[in-house]
Amino acid sequence: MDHVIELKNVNKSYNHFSVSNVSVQIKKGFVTGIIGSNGAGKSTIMRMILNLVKPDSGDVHIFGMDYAKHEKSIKDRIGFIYSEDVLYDELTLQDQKKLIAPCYSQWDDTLFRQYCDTFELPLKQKLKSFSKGMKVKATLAIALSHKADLLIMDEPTAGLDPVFRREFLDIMQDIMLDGNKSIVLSTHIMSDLSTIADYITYVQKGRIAFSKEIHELQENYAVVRGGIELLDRDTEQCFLAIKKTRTGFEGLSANLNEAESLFGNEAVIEKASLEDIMYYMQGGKNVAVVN
Amino acid sequence: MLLLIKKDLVIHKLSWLLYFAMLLFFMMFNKDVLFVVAIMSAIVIMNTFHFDELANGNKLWNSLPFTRKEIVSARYNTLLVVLIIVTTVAMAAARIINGEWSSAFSSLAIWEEVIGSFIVMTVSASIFFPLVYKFAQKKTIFTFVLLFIGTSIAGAYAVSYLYKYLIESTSIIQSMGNGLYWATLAFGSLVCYVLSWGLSLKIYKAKEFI
Amino acid sequence: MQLLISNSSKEPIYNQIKDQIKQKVLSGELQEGHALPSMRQLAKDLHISVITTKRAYEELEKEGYIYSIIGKGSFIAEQNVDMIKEKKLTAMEEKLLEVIANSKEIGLSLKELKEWITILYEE
Repeated sequence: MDHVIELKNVNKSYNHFSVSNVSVQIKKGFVTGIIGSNGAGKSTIMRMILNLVKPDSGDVHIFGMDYAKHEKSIKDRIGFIYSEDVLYDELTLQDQKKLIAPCYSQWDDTLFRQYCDTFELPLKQKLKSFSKGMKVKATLAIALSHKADLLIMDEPTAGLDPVFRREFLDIMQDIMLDGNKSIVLSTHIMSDLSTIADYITYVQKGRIAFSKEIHELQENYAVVRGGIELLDRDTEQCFLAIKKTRTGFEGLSANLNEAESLFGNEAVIEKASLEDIMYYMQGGKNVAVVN
Repeated sequence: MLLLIKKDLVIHKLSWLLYFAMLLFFMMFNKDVLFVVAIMSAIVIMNTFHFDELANGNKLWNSLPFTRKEIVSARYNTLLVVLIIVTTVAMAAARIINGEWSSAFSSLAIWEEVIGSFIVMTVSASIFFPLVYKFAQKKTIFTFVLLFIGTSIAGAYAVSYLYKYLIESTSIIQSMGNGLYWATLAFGSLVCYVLSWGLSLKIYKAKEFI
Repeated sequence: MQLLISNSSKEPIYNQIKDQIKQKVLSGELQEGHALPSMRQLAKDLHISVITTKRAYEELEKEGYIYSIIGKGSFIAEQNVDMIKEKKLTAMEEKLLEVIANSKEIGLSLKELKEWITILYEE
C-alpha cells in the first residue's frame, strides 16, 4: 500500500463555505505539506482526515481502512498535534501520560521518557505552568511515543520561536529515517516546508488547486517581472496570475521554460518561492487571476 | 471504555478531597442523604464536563483510539459510578455523625433517600447531558454546570415533597405500597436515562470538533 | 562523505548532490563498492527533504554511478574512470582551442595566457 491517506470526491458544506470534490492521496514514507490561506479549507480537510468532522459525501480511507468500521485501529496508529492545547491544565505531564498511555496498543514508556529528557519537559509540573513551546513538545512526546505510522499536525509550529522550529524540523527528520512513517502537516510557515516537505498540496477556496512534488514547484514555477508592453492576449496565457502596477507587471508562471523562451532577456525571471505561489494564486490585492 | 470512565474520575485529582469535605459539611448541618448525594453527584459530574471542555477534551479523546459511542457511553456510566461513590460516602458519614441510618430532618427511610437521589440524578442528567453535548462550549459550559446543580437541588426537594404530599393528601402510596411506588419511579427514570443516552449518541455522532 | 549544499544556489539541490558525488567518484575518493548513506539518513544530515536525496540517487543510478540493493542501500558502481576522463579531456580540448583562438584574435601571447591560467588555477 503506497498511500496512507486517500480522499476521494470528498464534499463538505457549511453555510458560507464549502469544501468540494476533494481528492488527495498522501504517499507513505514522505512528508506532505498542506498549504493555503486562512479559511481555504485546510483545517476542514485535516479534520476530515482525523474524523473530527464527517464529510457530507465521498470516501476517506486511512491506511486503506474507513472510519465507519475501523476507527479504533486507525487512530491507534495516528499521532496528532494541534495548534491549540488539548491537555488538561490542572494535571502534570506524568498524570496526563498515565491517562493516555493505556489507550494505545503500542505505547513505549521508555521512549516517552527519552523524549521528555530530550525536550527537557518536567514530568511533575502542572501543564498550566508550561509555555506554549513546552506544550507543543509535550503533545509531540505523546504523539511520538506510541509508534504512530502517521503523524498529523495542524499548524504545529504556529506561535513558536525560530529556535524551536528548527529543533522541531530536526525531530521530523529523525522520524523520517523510518521509511514506513508518514507526516502530514498544515502550516503557514513556508520555510518549514521547503526544508522537509516532499509533496505540497495547495488548498484554495475549498478545492485542491494542486498536489505536487516539491521539485516540480521549484523547477517550473517562476515569477516574471517586466514592462506592461510585453503583455498581450497571447503572452498573458503564460501566466496563472498577473499583477499590474505603474512600474510594470509581475506574473506567476507554472512553466519556467515557456516564460524564458517567450520573454528571454526582456523580463526578469526568477524561481517562485512557495510564498510567491500562494500570494499570486490567491489573487491578492491587484492580482488578476488568469483563467 | 473503562479507561474513559477512569479518566472521568481521575481528572478531578485533589478536587475529590474538596468534594468529600463539602459532603461532610452538608452532613454536619443535618442535610439529608437525598439532598447531599444529589448536590455532590451533580457537582462532580458537571465538573467532569467542565474540565473536558476547558482542555478541548472532545478533540483530544476523539483523536485517541475511541469511538464516539464509547465516549458518550462512558459519561453515562461515569454518572452511575459517581452516584455509587457519593452515596456510599454519604451513608457512611450519616452513620458516623448521626449514629443511625437516617437523618432527623427527613421523613424518608434511608433506602428511600438512596433511590430518591438515583431518580433525581438520572432524570436531571437525562435532560442535561444531551443539552450539554448539543450546545455547550468553552464559554457556556459553566452556565450549564450551574443550571444542572440547581436542577438537582430542586429535584431533591421535589422528590421529598412529592412523597410527603402523596402520603398526607392522597392515598396513592398507601394503596400501591411503598416499595412499588419507589420501584415505579426508579424504573421510569431509568427509561428516561436510556432514552437520553440514545439521544446523546445521536447528537454526539453528528458533532464536529473544531 | 562530505557534501556541501547551498540553499541559495540556482542549481537544484539534488543536482548539487549528484555533481558532488560524481566528482568524488571521478577523483577516486569514492571507490567501487563504497556504501553511500541511506537516502533518508542523507536527507536528515543535510536538512533537506527525502524526495530530494531520492531524486539525486535515482539519477546517479540511471547514469550508472551507483547501484542500489533493496534492504541494503546504495553503493558506488564499477566505473570506467579512464573512459569518463577521456570524454572530459576531449571536451576540454575543444574549449581550450576556443580560448586559444580568442587569445590570438586579441593578440594575447602564450606566456600571458599561461600566467593568467596559472593565477586562475591556483585561486
